[in-house]
Amino acid sequence: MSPSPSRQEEIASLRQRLAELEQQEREAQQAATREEIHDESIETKPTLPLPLADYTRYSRQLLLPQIGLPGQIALRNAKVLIVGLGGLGSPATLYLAGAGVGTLGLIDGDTVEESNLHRQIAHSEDRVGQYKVDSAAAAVAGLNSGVKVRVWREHLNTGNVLRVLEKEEEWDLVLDCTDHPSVRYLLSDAAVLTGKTVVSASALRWDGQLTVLNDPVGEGPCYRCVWPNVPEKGSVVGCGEGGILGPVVGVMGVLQAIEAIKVLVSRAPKKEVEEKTESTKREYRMTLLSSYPTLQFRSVRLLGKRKTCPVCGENKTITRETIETGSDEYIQACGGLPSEEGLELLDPVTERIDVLTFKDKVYDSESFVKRRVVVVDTRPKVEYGICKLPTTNQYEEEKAEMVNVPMEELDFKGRPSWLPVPEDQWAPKTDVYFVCKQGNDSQIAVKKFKEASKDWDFDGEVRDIIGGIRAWGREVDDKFPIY
Amino acid sequence: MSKPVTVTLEFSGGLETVFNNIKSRKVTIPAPEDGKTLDMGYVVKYLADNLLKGNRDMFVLADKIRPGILVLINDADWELEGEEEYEPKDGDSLLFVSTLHGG
Ligand SMILES: [Zn+2]
Repeated sequence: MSPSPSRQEEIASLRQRLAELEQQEREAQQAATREEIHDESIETKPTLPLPLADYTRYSRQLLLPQIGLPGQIALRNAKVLIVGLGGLGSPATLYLAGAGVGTLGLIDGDTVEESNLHRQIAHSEDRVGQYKVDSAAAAVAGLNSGVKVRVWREHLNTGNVLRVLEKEEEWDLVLDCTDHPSVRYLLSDAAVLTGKTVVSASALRWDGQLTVLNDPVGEGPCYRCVWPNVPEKGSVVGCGEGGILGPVVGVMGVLQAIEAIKVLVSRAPKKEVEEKTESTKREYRMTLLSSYPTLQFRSVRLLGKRKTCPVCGENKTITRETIETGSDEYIQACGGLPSEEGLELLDPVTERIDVLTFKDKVYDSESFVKRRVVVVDTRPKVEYGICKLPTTNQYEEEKAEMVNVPMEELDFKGRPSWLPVPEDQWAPKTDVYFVCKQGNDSQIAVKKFKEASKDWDFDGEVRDIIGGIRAWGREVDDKFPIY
Repeated sequence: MSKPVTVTLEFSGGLETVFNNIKSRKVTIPAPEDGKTLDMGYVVKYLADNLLKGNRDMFVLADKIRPGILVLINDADWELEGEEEYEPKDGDSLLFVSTLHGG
Protein backbone atom coordinates (compact mmCIF):
# COMPACT_ATOMS: atom_id res chain seq x y z
CA MET A 1 0.00 0.00 0.00
CA SER A 2 1.37 3.41 -0.88
CA PRO A 3 1.05 6.36 1.49
CA SER A 4 -1.74 8.87 0.91
CA PRO A 5 -0.89 12.20 -0.80
CA SER A 6 -0.96 14.15 2.45
CA ARG A 7 1.28 11.58 4.10
CA GLN A 8 3.63 11.80 1.12
CA GLU A 9 3.75 15.56 1.51
CA GLU A 10 4.54 15.19 5.17
CA ILE A 11 7.30 12.70 4.42
CA ALA A 12 8.73 15.01 1.75
CA SER A 13 8.74 17.98 4.12
CA LEU A 14 10.33 15.94 6.90
CA ARG A 15 13.00 14.73 4.49
CA GLN A 16 13.55 18.33 3.48
CA ARG A 17 13.97 19.37 7.09
CA LEU A 18 16.33 16.45 7.67
CA ALA A 19 18.42 17.47 4.66
CA GLU A 20 18.68 21.03 5.96
CA LEU A 21 19.74 19.87 9.41
CA GLU A 22 22.29 17.49 7.91
CA GLN A 23 23.63 20.31 5.80
CA GLN A 24 24.03 22.54 8.87
CA GLU A 25 25.72 19.71 10.71
CA ARG A 26 28.10 19.15 7.78
CA GLU A 27 28.97 22.82 7.66
CA ALA A 28 29.69 22.87 11.39
CA GLN A 29 31.88 19.80 11.10
CA GLN A 30 33.71 21.22 8.12
CA ALA A 31 34.41 24.43 9.99
CA ALA A 32 35.76 22.40 12.90
CA THR A 33 37.91 20.31 10.55
CA ARG A 34 39.32 23.39 8.92
CA GLU A 35 40.30 24.81 12.29
CA GLU A 36 42.03 21.56 13.23
CA ILE A 37 43.95 21.58 9.99
CA HIS A 38 44.89 25.15 10.65
CA ASP A 39 46.15 24.30 14.16
CA GLU A 40 48.07 21.35 12.79
CA SER A 41 49.85 23.51 10.26
CA ILE A 42 50.96 25.89 13.00
CA GLU A 43 52.58 23.00 14.88
CA THR A 44 54.39 21.42 11.93
CA LYS A 45 57.12 23.68 10.61
CA PRO A 46 57.92 24.32 7.90
CA THR A 47 54.25 24.28 6.91
CA LEU A 48 53.13 21.95 4.14
CA PRO A 49 51.12 23.55 1.36
CA LEU A 50 48.51 20.79 1.58
CA PRO A 51 47.07 18.97 4.62
CA LEU A 52 49.18 15.87 5.21
CA ALA A 53 46.37 13.45 4.42
CA ASP A 54 45.82 15.04 1.01
CA TYR A 55 49.20 13.80 -0.24
CA THR A 56 48.00 10.23 0.12
CA ARG A 57 44.41 10.82 -0.78
CA TYR A 58 45.20 12.52 -4.10
CA SER A 59 48.48 10.72 -4.79
CA ARG A 60 47.31 9.08 -8.01
CA GLN A 61 46.46 12.39 -9.62
CA LEU A 62 49.40 14.22 -7.99
CA LEU A 63 51.60 11.87 -10.00
CA LEU A 64 50.38 13.33 -13.27
CA PRO A 65 53.00 15.84 -14.42
CA GLN A 66 50.26 18.17 -15.65
CA ILE A 67 48.79 18.31 -12.15
CA GLY A 68 51.52 17.85 -9.53
CA LEU A 69 51.51 19.79 -6.29
CA PRO A 70 50.65 23.17 -7.85
CA GLY A 71 47.71 21.60 -9.65
CA GLN A 72 46.38 19.99 -6.49
CA ILE A 73 46.72 23.26 -4.58
CA ALA A 74 44.84 25.00 -7.40
CA LEU A 75 42.05 22.43 -7.14
CA ARG A 76 41.88 22.83 -3.37
CA ASN A 77 41.59 26.59 -3.68
CA ALA A 78 39.08 26.41 -6.52
CA LYS A 79 35.43 27.33 -6.33
CA VAL A 80 33.20 25.77 -8.96
CA LEU A 81 29.52 26.48 -9.51
CA ILE A 82 27.45 23.62 -10.92
CA VAL A 83 24.16 24.69 -12.46
CA GLY A 84 21.74 21.76 -12.62
CA LEU A 85 22.05 18.58 -10.58
CA GLY A 86 20.59 16.16 -13.09
CA GLY A 87 22.21 13.66 -15.43
CA LEU A 88 25.19 15.90 -16.19
CA GLY A 89 25.53 17.59 -12.82
CA SER A 90 25.47 14.32 -10.87
CA PRO A 91 28.68 12.75 -12.19
CA ALA A 92 30.39 16.13 -12.72
CA THR A 93 29.81 17.04 -9.07
CA LEU A 94 30.96 13.65 -7.78
CA TYR A 95 34.17 13.66 -9.84
CA LEU A 96 35.04 17.23 -8.89
CA ALA A 97 34.44 16.36 -5.23
CA GLY A 98 36.56 13.26 -5.68
CA ALA A 99 39.37 15.32 -7.20
CA GLY A 100 39.42 17.61 -4.18
CA VAL A 101 37.94 20.82 -5.55
CA GLY A 102 37.73 22.98 -2.42
CA THR A 103 34.32 24.58 -2.84
CA LEU A 104 31.35 23.41 -4.87
CA GLY A 105 28.27 25.55 -5.41
CA LEU A 106 25.12 23.68 -6.38
CA ILE A 107 22.02 25.34 -7.80
CA ASP A 108 18.81 23.61 -8.87
CA GLY A 109 15.18 24.12 -7.87
CA ASP A 110 14.05 20.58 -8.67
CA THR A 111 13.43 17.74 -6.25
CA VAL A 112 14.53 14.16 -6.84
CA GLU A 113 11.99 11.97 -8.66
CA GLU A 114 12.09 8.24 -9.16
CA SER A 115 12.38 8.63 -12.93
CA ASN A 116 15.63 10.57 -12.37
CA LEU A 117 17.49 7.71 -10.73
CA HIS A 118 18.43 5.78 -13.87
CA ARG A 119 20.86 8.52 -14.81
CA GLN A 120 21.18 11.06 -11.99
CA ILE A 121 23.50 8.93 -9.93
CA ALA A 122 24.25 11.46 -7.20
CA HIS A 123 20.74 10.80 -5.88
CA SER A 124 19.26 7.71 -4.30
CA GLU A 125 15.94 6.05 -3.50
CA ASP A 126 15.92 7.26 0.08
CA ARG A 127 16.40 10.86 -1.07
CA VAL A 128 13.44 10.95 -3.48
CA GLY A 129 11.48 14.10 -2.66
CA GLN A 130 14.50 16.05 -1.39
CA TYR A 131 15.89 19.01 -3.28
CA LYS A 132 18.44 17.73 -5.77
CA VAL A 133 21.03 20.11 -4.33
CA ASP A 134 20.57 18.67 -0.83
CA SER A 135 20.70 15.13 -2.17
CA ALA A 136 23.87 15.90 -4.14
CA ALA A 137 25.39 17.66 -1.10
CA ALA A 138 24.81 14.49 0.92
CA ALA A 139 26.50 12.42 -1.81
CA VAL A 140 29.48 14.80 -1.82
CA ALA A 141 29.72 14.69 1.98
CA GLY A 142 29.85 10.89 1.83
CA LEU A 143 32.53 10.90 -0.83
CA ASN A 144 34.77 13.73 0.36
CA SER A 145 33.98 15.49 3.62
CA GLY A 146 36.76 18.00 2.98
CA VAL A 147 34.78 19.68 0.20
CA LYS A 148 32.81 22.75 1.17
CA VAL A 149 29.35 22.77 -0.42
CA ARG A 150 27.02 25.72 -0.84
CA VAL A 151 23.50 25.09 -2.12
CA TRP A 152 20.79 27.21 -3.77
CA ARG A 153 17.38 25.54 -3.79
CA GLU A 154 16.14 27.55 -6.75
CA HIS A 155 16.31 27.53 -10.52
CA LEU A 156 18.76 29.84 -12.18
CA ASN A 157 16.77 32.79 -13.55
CA THR A 158 17.14 36.40 -14.62
CA GLY A 159 16.48 37.51 -11.06
CA ASN A 160 19.25 35.53 -9.37
CA VAL A 161 21.84 34.78 -12.04
CA LEU A 162 24.09 37.81 -11.51
CA ARG A 163 23.83 37.53 -7.73
CA VAL A 164 24.74 33.84 -7.64
CA LEU A 165 27.45 34.15 -10.28
CA GLU A 166 29.29 37.09 -8.87
CA LYS A 167 28.09 38.54 -5.58
CA GLU A 168 27.71 35.51 -3.36
CA GLU A 169 30.97 33.78 -4.14
CA GLU A 170 33.98 34.28 -6.38
CA TRP A 171 33.61 31.33 -8.71
CA ASP A 172 36.61 30.26 -10.73
CA LEU A 173 34.51 28.27 -13.12
CA VAL A 174 30.91 27.44 -13.96
CA LEU A 175 29.47 24.16 -15.25
CA ASP A 176 26.39 24.31 -17.44
CA CYS A 177 24.54 21.10 -16.58
CA THR A 178 21.10 22.51 -17.35
CA ASP A 179 18.43 21.03 -19.57
CA HIS A 180 16.78 23.93 -21.36
CA PRO A 181 18.07 26.34 -24.02
CA SER A 182 16.74 29.48 -22.32
CA VAL A 183 18.78 28.69 -19.19
CA ARG A 184 21.82 27.80 -21.32
CA TYR A 185 21.69 31.20 -23.07
CA LEU A 186 21.05 33.00 -19.78
CA LEU A 187 23.95 31.31 -18.00
CA SER A 188 26.34 31.87 -20.90
CA ASP A 189 25.35 35.54 -21.24
CA ALA A 190 25.77 36.15 -17.52
CA ALA A 191 29.10 34.29 -17.53
CA VAL A 192 30.43 36.54 -20.30
CA LEU A 193 29.26 39.63 -18.38
CA THR A 194 30.86 38.45 -15.14
CA GLY A 195 34.01 37.05 -16.73
CA LYS A 196 33.57 33.34 -16.06
CA THR A 197 34.54 30.36 -18.16
CA VAL A 198 31.72 27.88 -18.70
CA VAL A 199 32.11 24.16 -19.31
CA SER A 200 28.94 23.32 -21.17
CA ALA A 201 27.52 19.91 -22.05
CA SER A 202 24.25 18.47 -23.24
CA ALA A 203 22.84 15.10 -24.16
CA LEU A 204 19.81 13.48 -25.72
CA ARG A 205 19.04 9.88 -26.67
CA TRP A 206 22.44 8.38 -27.64
CA ASP A 207 24.29 11.62 -28.39
CA GLY A 208 26.18 14.25 -26.47
CA GLN A 209 27.93 17.60 -27.04
CA LEU A 210 30.59 19.39 -25.04
CA THR A 211 32.27 22.80 -25.35
CA VAL A 212 34.34 25.00 -23.10
CA LEU A 213 33.00 28.53 -23.50
CA ASN A 214 34.54 31.93 -22.85
CA ASP A 215 37.93 30.31 -22.38
CA PRO A 216 40.25 32.12 -22.05
CA VAL A 217 37.88 34.67 -20.53
CA GLY A 218 37.12 37.38 -23.08
CA GLU A 219 38.70 35.41 -25.93
CA GLY A 220 36.86 32.16 -26.50
CA PRO A 221 33.39 31.92 -28.07
CA CYS A 222 30.30 31.97 -25.88
CA TYR A 223 27.18 29.80 -26.24
CA ARG A 224 25.63 32.42 -28.52
CA CYS A 225 28.72 32.45 -30.74
CA VAL A 226 28.38 28.69 -31.23
CA TRP A 227 24.57 28.67 -31.52
CA PRO A 228 23.67 32.17 -32.72
CA ASN A 229 20.09 31.24 -33.57
CA VAL A 230 17.82 30.66 -30.63
CA PRO A 231 15.46 27.70 -31.18
CA GLU A 232 11.81 28.50 -31.72
CA LYS A 233 9.41 27.81 -28.94
CA GLY A 234 8.03 24.31 -29.18
CA SER A 235 10.94 22.92 -31.20
CA VAL A 236 12.97 21.88 -28.17
CA VAL A 237 13.10 18.16 -27.42
CA GLY A 238 13.98 17.32 -23.83
CA CYS A 239 14.96 14.05 -22.16
CA GLY A 240 11.34 13.62 -21.02
CA GLU A 241 10.16 13.41 -24.63
CA GLY A 242 13.13 12.18 -26.63
CA GLY A 243 14.54 9.81 -24.05
CA ILE A 244 18.10 9.52 -22.80
CA LEU A 245 20.42 6.67 -21.93
CA GLY A 246 21.91 7.12 -18.45
CA PRO A 247 25.55 6.39 -19.31
CA VAL A 248 25.41 8.74 -22.33
CA VAL A 249 24.56 11.79 -20.26
CA GLY A 250 26.86 10.38 -17.56
CA VAL A 251 29.83 10.32 -19.94
CA MET A 252 29.15 13.93 -20.88
CA GLY A 253 29.08 14.96 -17.20
CA VAL A 254 32.35 13.11 -16.59
CA LEU A 255 33.88 14.89 -19.60
CA GLN A 256 32.80 18.20 -18.05
CA ALA A 257 34.72 17.26 -14.91
CA ILE A 258 37.82 16.53 -17.04
CA GLU A 259 37.62 19.89 -18.80
CA ALA A 260 36.92 21.67 -15.50
CA ILE A 261 39.99 20.14 -13.85
CA LYS A 262 42.11 21.12 -16.86
CA VAL A 263 40.91 24.72 -16.76
CA LEU A 264 41.51 25.01 -13.00
CA VAL A 265 44.94 23.38 -13.11
CA SER A 266 46.02 25.45 -16.10
CA ARG A 267 45.60 28.53 -13.95
CA ALA A 268 48.13 27.27 -11.38
CA PRO A 269 51.43 29.20 -11.23
CA LYS A 270 53.12 28.30 -14.50
CA LYS A 271 56.76 27.65 -13.72
CA GLU A 272 56.04 25.01 -11.13
CA VAL A 273 53.85 22.92 -13.41
CA GLU A 274 55.76 20.60 -15.76
CA GLU A 275 56.40 22.29 -19.10
CA LYS A 276 53.14 23.73 -20.24
CA THR A 277 52.06 22.45 -23.60
CA GLU A 278 53.46 24.68 -26.31
CA SER A 279 50.93 27.37 -27.07
CA THR A 280 49.89 27.11 -30.66
CA LYS A 281 47.24 29.31 -32.17
CA ARG A 282 44.18 28.67 -30.07
CA GLU A 283 41.54 26.50 -31.67
CA TYR A 284 38.04 26.23 -30.33
CA ARG A 285 36.44 22.82 -30.46
CA MET A 286 33.31 20.94 -29.71
CA THR A 287 33.39 17.28 -28.72
CA LEU A 288 30.59 15.15 -30.09
CA LEU A 289 29.63 11.78 -28.73
CA SER A 290 27.55 9.52 -30.88
CA SER A 291 27.05 6.16 -29.23
CA TYR A 292 24.62 4.35 -31.51
CA PRO A 293 24.91 2.28 -33.65
CA THR A 294 28.69 2.72 -33.62
CA LEU A 295 30.29 4.35 -30.61
CA GLN A 296 32.33 7.32 -31.70
CA PHE A 297 33.79 10.54 -30.41
CA ARG A 298 34.78 13.37 -32.66
CA SER A 299 36.22 16.76 -32.10
CA VAL A 300 35.10 19.47 -34.50
CA ARG A 301 36.59 22.88 -35.10
CA LEU A 302 34.37 25.85 -34.25
CA LEU A 303 34.33 29.30 -35.73
CA GLY A 304 35.36 31.04 -32.51
CA LYS A 305 34.05 34.34 -31.29
CA ARG A 306 31.62 36.18 -33.55
CA LYS A 307 31.96 39.91 -34.10
CA THR A 308 28.18 40.01 -34.42
CA CYS A 309 27.54 38.26 -31.08
CA PRO A 310 25.08 40.38 -29.04
CA VAL A 311 26.83 39.61 -25.76
CA CYS A 312 30.55 39.28 -26.53
CA GLY A 313 30.76 40.92 -29.97
CA GLU A 314 31.31 44.49 -31.11
CA ASN A 315 27.73 45.71 -30.78
CA LYS A 316 26.55 44.52 -27.42
CA THR A 317 22.82 44.49 -26.99
CA ILE A 318 22.74 42.10 -24.04
CA THR A 319 23.92 43.71 -20.83
CA ARG A 320 23.44 43.33 -17.09
CA GLU A 321 20.50 45.71 -17.42
CA THR A 322 18.72 43.76 -20.14
CA ILE A 323 19.02 40.64 -18.02
CA GLU A 324 17.85 42.24 -14.80
CA THR A 325 15.11 44.43 -16.21
CA GLY A 326 12.99 43.42 -19.22
CA SER A 327 13.54 39.85 -18.17
CA ASP A 328 10.37 38.63 -19.85
CA GLU A 329 11.42 39.88 -23.22
CA TYR A 330 14.86 38.47 -22.66
CA ILE A 331 13.55 35.02 -21.78
CA GLN A 332 11.15 34.98 -24.72
CA ALA A 333 14.06 35.81 -26.98
CA CYS A 334 15.87 32.78 -25.56
CA GLY A 335 13.13 30.34 -26.51
CA GLY A 336 10.94 30.84 -23.44
CA LEU A 337 11.15 29.19 -20.07
CA PRO A 338 10.87 25.46 -19.60
CA SER A 339 7.15 24.86 -19.35
CA GLU A 340 4.79 22.02 -18.73
CA GLU A 341 1.89 24.02 -20.03
CA GLY A 342 -0.37 22.30 -22.50
CA LEU A 343 -1.30 23.47 -25.93
CA GLU A 344 -4.73 25.05 -26.33
CA LEU A 345 -5.54 24.50 -29.94
CA LEU A 346 -9.05 23.08 -29.68
CA ASP A 347 -12.24 23.97 -27.90
CA PRO A 348 -12.28 21.79 -24.78
CA VAL A 349 -16.06 21.35 -24.89
CA THR A 350 -16.86 20.73 -28.54
CA GLU A 351 -13.59 19.38 -29.91
CA ARG A 352 -12.05 17.46 -27.00
CA ILE A 353 -13.13 14.81 -24.54
CA ASP A 354 -11.97 14.07 -21.00
CA VAL A 355 -10.97 10.51 -20.09
CA LEU A 356 -13.94 9.82 -17.83
CA THR A 357 -16.50 10.83 -20.44
CA PHE A 358 -14.52 8.93 -23.05
CA LYS A 359 -14.58 5.77 -20.94
CA ASP A 360 -18.29 6.17 -20.32
CA LYS A 361 -19.15 6.75 -23.92
CA VAL A 362 -16.93 4.19 -25.58
CA TYR A 363 -16.56 1.34 -23.11
CA ASP A 364 -19.50 1.53 -20.74
CA SER A 365 -22.49 2.88 -22.64
CA GLU A 366 -25.24 0.54 -23.75
CA SER A 367 -26.34 2.85 -26.49
CA PHE A 368 -28.95 1.48 -28.91
CA VAL A 369 -27.38 3.21 -31.82
CA LYS A 370 -24.33 1.19 -32.76
CA ARG A 371 -21.30 3.36 -33.42
CA ARG A 372 -17.96 2.44 -34.80
CA VAL A 373 -15.08 3.85 -32.74
CA VAL A 374 -11.59 4.32 -34.13
CA VAL A 375 -8.86 5.39 -31.73
CA VAL A 376 -5.78 6.82 -33.41
CA ASP A 377 -2.77 6.83 -31.10
CA THR A 378 -0.23 9.34 -32.42
CA ARG A 379 2.67 8.44 -30.13
CA PRO A 380 5.96 7.06 -31.48
CA LYS A 381 5.93 3.29 -32.02
CA VAL A 382 8.23 2.67 -29.07
CA GLU A 383 5.82 4.41 -26.70
CA TYR A 384 2.84 2.56 -28.16
CA GLY A 385 4.81 -0.59 -27.41
CA ILE A 386 5.04 0.38 -23.73
CA CYS A 387 1.31 0.74 -23.08
CA LYS A 388 -1.91 1.59 -24.91
CA LEU A 389 -5.60 2.12 -24.29
CA PRO A 390 -7.80 -1.01 -24.27
CA THR A 391 -10.03 -1.94 -27.21
CA THR A 392 -12.40 -3.99 -25.05
CA ASN A 393 -14.47 -3.24 -21.98
CA GLN A 394 -14.40 -5.19 -18.71
CA TYR A 395 -16.60 -7.94 -20.24
CA GLU A 396 -14.13 -8.48 -23.06
CA GLU A 397 -16.52 -6.94 -25.58
CA GLU A 398 -14.82 -5.24 -28.50
CA LYS A 399 -15.59 -1.55 -28.23
CA ALA A 400 -13.02 0.20 -30.37
CA GLU A 401 -10.54 -0.25 -33.19
CA MET A 402 -7.06 1.03 -32.46
CA VAL A 403 -4.30 2.18 -34.80
CA ASN A 404 -0.89 3.60 -34.02
CA VAL A 405 0.04 6.38 -36.43
CA PRO A 406 3.04 8.39 -35.17
CA MET A 407 2.82 12.14 -35.87
CA GLU A 408 5.36 12.06 -38.69
CA GLU A 409 3.34 9.38 -40.50
CA LEU A 410 0.06 11.19 -40.04
CA ASP A 411 -0.39 12.44 -43.53
CA PHE A 412 -3.57 13.84 -45.00
CA LYS A 413 -2.77 13.92 -48.68
CA GLY A 414 -6.05 12.51 -49.95
CA ARG A 415 -7.97 9.95 -47.89
CA PRO A 416 -5.50 8.66 -45.32
CA SER A 417 -4.52 5.03 -45.87
CA TRP A 418 -3.89 4.58 -42.15
CA LEU A 419 -7.57 4.99 -41.30
CA PRO A 420 -8.94 1.43 -40.93
CA VAL A 421 -12.32 2.41 -42.38
CA PRO A 422 -12.94 2.11 -46.12
CA GLU A 423 -14.53 5.18 -47.65
CA ASP A 424 -17.91 3.58 -48.31
CA GLN A 425 -18.19 2.17 -44.81
CA TRP A 426 -18.59 5.25 -42.65
CA ALA A 427 -21.96 3.80 -41.60
CA PRO A 428 -22.70 2.76 -38.93
CA LYS A 429 -21.66 6.12 -37.62
CA THR A 430 -17.93 6.30 -37.17
CA ASP A 431 -16.26 8.40 -34.49
CA VAL A 432 -12.54 9.08 -34.48
CA TYR A 433 -10.60 9.82 -31.30
CA PHE A 434 -6.99 10.92 -31.32
CA VAL A 435 -4.82 10.21 -28.31
CA CYS A 436 -1.17 10.89 -27.46
CA LYS A 437 0.93 10.99 -24.31
CA GLN A 438 -0.27 14.26 -22.79
CA GLY A 439 -2.82 15.69 -25.19
CA ASN A 440 -0.79 18.11 -27.30
CA ASP A 441 -0.02 16.21 -30.51
CA SER A 442 -3.54 14.80 -30.52
CA GLN A 443 -4.94 18.35 -30.82
CA ILE A 444 -2.77 19.04 -33.84
CA ALA A 445 -4.00 15.76 -35.33
CA VAL A 446 -7.67 16.70 -34.81
CA LYS A 447 -7.08 20.08 -36.40
CA LYS A 448 -5.54 18.47 -39.47
CA PHE A 449 -8.18 15.75 -39.64
CA LYS A 450 -11.00 18.28 -39.56
CA GLU A 451 -9.38 20.30 -42.27
CA ALA A 452 -8.90 17.27 -44.54
CA SER A 453 -12.17 15.45 -43.80
CA LYS A 454 -14.25 18.29 -45.26
CA ASP A 455 -13.74 16.58 -48.61
CA TRP A 456 -14.83 13.20 -47.36
CA ASP A 457 -18.27 11.90 -46.64
CA PHE A 458 -17.46 11.84 -42.94
CA ASP A 459 -20.04 13.04 -40.45
CA GLY A 460 -18.98 11.31 -37.24
CA GLU A 461 -17.42 12.92 -34.24
CA VAL A 462 -13.72 13.66 -34.10
CA ARG A 463 -12.14 14.62 -30.82
CA ASP A 464 -8.91 14.28 -28.92
CA ILE A 465 -8.50 12.92 -25.42
CA ILE A 466 -7.63 15.62 -22.90
CA GLY A 467 -4.43 14.76 -21.02
CA GLY A 468 -3.73 11.74 -23.24
CA ILE A 469 -2.90 8.31 -21.91
CA ARG A 470 -1.36 9.92 -18.83
CA ALA A 471 -4.79 11.13 -17.79
CA TRP A 472 -6.14 7.63 -18.42
CA GLY A 473 -3.55 6.25 -16.01
CA ARG A 474 -4.27 8.97 -13.47
CA GLU A 475 -8.04 9.05 -13.54
CA VAL A 476 -9.38 5.79 -14.95
CA ASP A 477 -7.03 2.87 -14.45
CA ASP A 478 -4.57 2.92 -11.56
CA LYS A 479 -2.85 -0.18 -12.98
CA PHE A 480 -2.01 1.66 -16.20
CA PRO A 481 1.74 2.31 -16.59
CA ILE A 482 2.86 5.94 -16.35
CA TYR A 483 6.17 6.49 -18.12
CA MET B 1 29.53 22.90 -65.29
CA SER B 2 29.98 20.86 -62.11
CA LYS B 3 30.58 17.12 -61.90
CA PRO B 4 28.85 14.82 -59.42
CA VAL B 5 30.64 14.37 -56.10
CA THR B 6 30.71 11.46 -53.68
CA VAL B 7 30.74 12.50 -50.05
CA THR B 8 30.25 10.90 -46.65
CA LEU B 9 27.07 12.21 -45.18
CA GLU B 10 26.55 12.12 -41.43
CA PHE B 11 23.74 13.20 -39.14
CA SER B 12 23.80 13.62 -35.39
CA GLY B 13 21.82 15.03 -32.52
CA GLY B 14 18.50 13.63 -33.70
CA LEU B 15 18.67 14.86 -37.31
CA GLU B 16 19.07 11.27 -38.46
CA THR B 17 15.40 10.70 -37.61
CA VAL B 18 14.37 12.59 -40.76
CA PHE B 19 16.99 10.76 -42.83
CA ASN B 20 15.72 7.20 -42.40
CA ASN B 21 17.62 6.89 -39.12
CA ILE B 22 20.86 6.41 -41.01
CA LYS B 23 23.64 8.21 -39.21
CA SER B 24 26.37 7.76 -41.77
CA ARG B 25 26.46 6.86 -45.46
CA LYS B 26 28.25 7.56 -48.72
CA VAL B 27 26.20 9.50 -51.20
CA THR B 28 26.82 10.66 -54.74
CA ILE B 29 25.33 14.05 -55.38
CA PRO B 30 24.51 14.62 -59.06
CA ALA B 31 25.48 17.86 -60.73
CA PRO B 32 22.72 20.48 -60.80
CA GLU B 33 20.65 20.15 -63.97
CA ASP B 34 20.55 23.87 -64.60
CA GLY B 35 24.34 23.96 -64.98
CA LYS B 36 24.79 25.85 -61.74
CA THR B 37 27.64 25.18 -59.31
CA LEU B 38 27.47 22.16 -57.05
CA ASP B 39 27.98 24.02 -53.80
CA MET B 40 26.79 23.47 -50.22
CA GLY B 41 23.69 25.56 -50.82
CA TYR B 42 22.74 23.11 -53.57
CA VAL B 43 23.68 20.08 -51.44
CA VAL B 44 21.36 21.20 -48.63
CA LYS B 45 18.45 21.61 -51.03
CA TYR B 46 19.28 18.32 -52.76
CA LEU B 47 19.25 16.43 -49.44
CA ALA B 48 15.97 18.03 -48.41
CA ASP B 49 14.35 17.18 -51.76
CA ASN B 50 15.74 13.69 -52.26
CA LEU B 51 16.89 11.99 -49.07
CA LEU B 52 14.77 13.56 -46.38
CA LYS B 53 11.82 11.53 -45.13
CA GLY B 54 9.42 13.19 -42.75
CA ASN B 55 9.28 16.67 -41.32
CA ARG B 56 11.21 18.92 -43.71
CA ASP B 57 11.17 21.81 -41.18
CA MET B 58 13.53 19.84 -38.98
CA PHE B 59 16.26 20.29 -41.57
CA VAL B 60 15.54 23.36 -43.68
CA LEU B 61 13.45 26.49 -43.55
CA ALA B 62 12.78 28.00 -46.98
CA ASP B 63 15.51 25.74 -48.45
CA LYS B 64 18.14 27.17 -46.08
CA ILE B 65 19.64 25.11 -43.29
CA ARG B 66 17.51 25.43 -40.21
CA PRO B 67 18.80 27.60 -37.34
CA GLY B 68 20.22 25.41 -34.58
CA ILE B 69 21.96 23.03 -36.99
CA LEU B 70 25.73 23.10 -37.12
CA VAL B 71 27.18 22.13 -40.50
CA LEU B 72 30.69 20.70 -40.44
CA ILE B 73 32.83 20.16 -43.49
CA ASN B 74 35.66 17.75 -42.72
CA ASP B 75 35.05 18.40 -39.02
CA ALA B 76 35.26 22.19 -39.28
CA ASP B 77 32.39 24.68 -38.99
CA TRP B 78 31.29 25.39 -42.56
CA GLU B 79 31.52 29.10 -41.84
CA LEU B 80 35.28 28.58 -41.83
CA GLU B 81 35.01 27.13 -45.34
CA GLY B 82 32.66 29.56 -47.05
CA GLU B 83 29.31 28.20 -45.95
CA GLU B 84 26.85 27.72 -48.84
CA GLU B 85 29.48 28.66 -51.39
CA TYR B 86 31.86 25.86 -50.49
CA GLU B 87 32.11 23.35 -53.34
CA PRO B 88 32.41 19.85 -51.89
CA LYS B 89 35.06 17.50 -53.24
CA ASP B 90 35.04 13.72 -53.57
CA GLY B 91 35.71 12.15 -50.17
CA ASP B 92 34.61 15.16 -48.13
CA SER B 93 32.79 14.49 -44.89
CA LEU B 94 29.63 16.52 -44.40
CA LEU B 95 28.27 16.38 -40.88
CA PHE B 96 24.98 17.94 -39.81
CA VAL B 97 24.51 18.29 -36.06
CA SER B 98 21.47 19.69 -34.32
CA THR B 99 21.75 21.33 -30.92
CA LEU B 100 21.06 19.16 -27.93
CA HIS B 101 19.57 20.73 -24.84
CA GLY B 102 19.00 17.82 -22.49
CA GLY B 103 20.95 17.25 -19.35
ZN1 LIG C 1 29.45 35.37 -28.00
